[in-house]
Amino acid sequence: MNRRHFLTIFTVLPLSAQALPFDPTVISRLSLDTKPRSLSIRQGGNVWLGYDLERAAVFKTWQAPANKPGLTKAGFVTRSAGKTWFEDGSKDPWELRRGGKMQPLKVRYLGCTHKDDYIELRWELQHDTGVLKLHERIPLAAASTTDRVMRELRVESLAKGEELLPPAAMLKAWKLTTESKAPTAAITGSALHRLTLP
Amino acid sequence: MVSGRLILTWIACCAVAAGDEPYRVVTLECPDDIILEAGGLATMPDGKLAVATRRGEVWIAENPYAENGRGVKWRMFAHALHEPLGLAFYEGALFVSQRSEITRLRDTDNDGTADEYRCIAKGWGVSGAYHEYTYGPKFDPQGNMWITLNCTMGDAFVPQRDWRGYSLRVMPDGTWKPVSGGMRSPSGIGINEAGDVFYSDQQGHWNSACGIHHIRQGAFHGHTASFASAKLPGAPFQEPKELIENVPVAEAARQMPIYKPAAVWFPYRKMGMSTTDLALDSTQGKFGPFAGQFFVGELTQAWVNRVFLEKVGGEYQGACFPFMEKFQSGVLRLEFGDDGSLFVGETSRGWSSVGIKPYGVQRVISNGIMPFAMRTMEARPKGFRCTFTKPVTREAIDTAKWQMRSYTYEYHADYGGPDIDVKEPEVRITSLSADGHFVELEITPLREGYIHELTITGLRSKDEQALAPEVAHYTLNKIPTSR
Repeated sequence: MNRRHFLTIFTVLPLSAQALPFDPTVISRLSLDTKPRSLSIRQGGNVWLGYDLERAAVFKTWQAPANKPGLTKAGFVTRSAGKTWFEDGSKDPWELRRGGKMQPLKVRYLGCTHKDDYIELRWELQHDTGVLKLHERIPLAAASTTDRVMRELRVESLAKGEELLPPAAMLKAWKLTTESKAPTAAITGSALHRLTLP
Repeated sequence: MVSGRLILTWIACCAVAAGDEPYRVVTLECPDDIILEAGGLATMPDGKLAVATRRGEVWIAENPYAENGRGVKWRMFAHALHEPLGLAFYEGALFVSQRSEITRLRDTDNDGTADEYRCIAKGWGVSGAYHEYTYGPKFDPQGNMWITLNCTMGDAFVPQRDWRGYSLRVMPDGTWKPVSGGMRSPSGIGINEAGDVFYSDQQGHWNSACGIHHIRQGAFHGHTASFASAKLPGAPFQEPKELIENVPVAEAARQMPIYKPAAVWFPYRKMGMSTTDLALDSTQGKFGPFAGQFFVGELTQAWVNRVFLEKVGGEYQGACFPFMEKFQSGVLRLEFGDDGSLFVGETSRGWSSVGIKPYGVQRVISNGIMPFAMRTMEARPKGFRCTFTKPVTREAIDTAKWQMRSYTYEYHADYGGPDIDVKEPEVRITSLSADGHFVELEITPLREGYIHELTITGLRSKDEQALAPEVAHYTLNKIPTSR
C-alpha cells in the first residue's frame, strides 16, 4: 500500500456560506500542529481556536494571514498559519477547590454539538466524589471589537463552596468574567461565565 | 484457477438484465460532485443506506434499492469527520469511527443533518501517522462494539502508540478493553452466527499472505509492533521471552503459544492482495446457498470472495473461494441490505486497485438462480468432504480432474512470503452421497498446519452447469480425529 500525500487548503468563507452543521471550513477534527485529539474551530472570518480535547483547554489561538487560510491540511494533519495570539504548551490542569484544598480532575471528552450560531463542546471532569459537566460554547460570529476572542463556559454539579479553576496558563492570558461581566478567578455555581482574549 | 476466474468475470459482468446468471451487479447512481470514497456502510431501518466517506462525510441514500441503481437521492448527514473507516446503525443512531474516537451522530432537531457528535469511546494512542486507521465499530449481540486499530507505520512515527495493532471491545458505557493484538492492517471485522468475532489482515511484515483471524482473549495475531503495548495494564498478552521466527507458522504457534495464525489464509494473488471487510450472510437464502458464511472484500483486485468456517479441535479453520470480480473500484466495505442484496462500498485512493473507477457503491443482487459452486469444504480425519450446491453424478466426478497442492508459510519479519514446503498430494474420491450433493476425498499425505488447495477441472452438475469457481483453499490448522 503506497502512501499518498496531498494538500488541501481550507478556504476562508463567510459564515453565511455555511450550508450544514459542522462545516469543515469552520471546524476540523484533524490533528492540529501534530497534537492528537485536537479540534480547530473558526470564530468570525479569520480567528481560530485550537483545542486540546484531553485537557479541555484551548492550546492555541491565532489569526489567519490577510486573504489566506488560517488552517492548511496535509494528509491527515493540519497546520495553523498566521499570527499566534495565545499558545499554551503547558500541561496545566483544571482544578477543583474545596475547603481551600485543590482536587485533581480527570478529563473525559464527550463530543460536540452545532446549534445555529455556536458550537458547544462538552467534557466530564471527574473528582473524588463525583463528576462535573463542563459545557463550552464558541460563538461562530466574530467577538466584539474590545475582545479578540470570546468563549462561554457553564458547569453543572458544582456544589456550594466549590470553585472550578481553569488551567493556570489560560487564566494568565484570558480574562474570566461572570455573566454580569465582573472579573473572577474561578467558576462558581451554574451560571454562564465568559473567557475573552483582550 | 484462470478458467475459474474467467467464469466469475462473466458472472460479475452481469449487470445486464437477469438471464440465467445467479447474480447481477448494479451501480448506485451518484452525482459527480459527491466524492463517495466508501469507508463505511450501514443499512437503516427505513430502507435507507448510510455511507461514510474517507473524506470525512456521512451521506444518506434514499431509494438505494432502485432496480437499476438510478434515481438514488443522496443527502449529506454529517461531515468534518476524521477519516471514517466504519459505520454502524444501532438503536436509532449512527456510530462512526474516527481516528481517535467512536462517535455517535444524532439529528436532534430533525432537519435531516446531524447536529450532535457524541464521543462514545476514545483513549487509544494516535500520533498523526498516516497509517493509524481505526476500523469498526461492529456491534455484537450483547451491544458491545468491536474496533480494530492499525499498527503505526512509517519510520517517522515509531515507536508505536498505545494499543496500536489491537482489537478493542467497547462496552455500552464507553469503557473498553484490549482483547487481542498483533494486527497489521485489520480493515474488516465480522461476527459469525455463534457470536465469535473475526478480522481480516493484510499481507506484509509478519504476514506472508492475507487472512481471516479469530479474535479471542489473549491472542497474538503475529505482528510484533503490538509488543510495544504488552507491558501496559490490561495487556491481553505478554511479549514472549524468545520470539520464534523463520519457521513455518504452525511450528511458530507450537513453540510460542500466544501466536494464533490465521483461521483461513488467503493465498497471495490467487485469493487477492488486500483483504478487507467481512459480511455475514444472514439473509436466510435470499442471497443464494451460502447462509452463515462470510463474504470478504478484496481491495487491490476489486473482488468479493467467500469463506466457509468450521471449528475443529477448538480452533477455527476453513476454506476460501473466489466469488465475484470486476467490481468498478477497490472493495473496502460490504453490507447486506434488507432485501438480501449485498452493498459494496468502494475506494481506490492511496492503494492502487484494478478497478476502473476511483470510488462508488454497487449492489450485488441474487437473481434467484442457483449457482453451481462448492458450498463447503470440511475437514475429515483422512481428507475433506466437499458439498456442492447442485447434485453431481458419479460419471461427472470421474470425468473431472481433481488436483491438490499443499503448502504453508514461514512466520517471519520479511514483507510477505512464498509458498513453502510444497507438495502435490494424491486425491482419491472415496464416496459420493446418495443425493449427489457431496463427495468424500482421501488426501495422501494430509498435512496439519498446511493450506490444501483443491482444483476441480471440468466438473458439471446433473443439469450440465459448469462448476464455478474451480478452486478452493482450505487452511488445515487441525486434522479432526473423528467425524
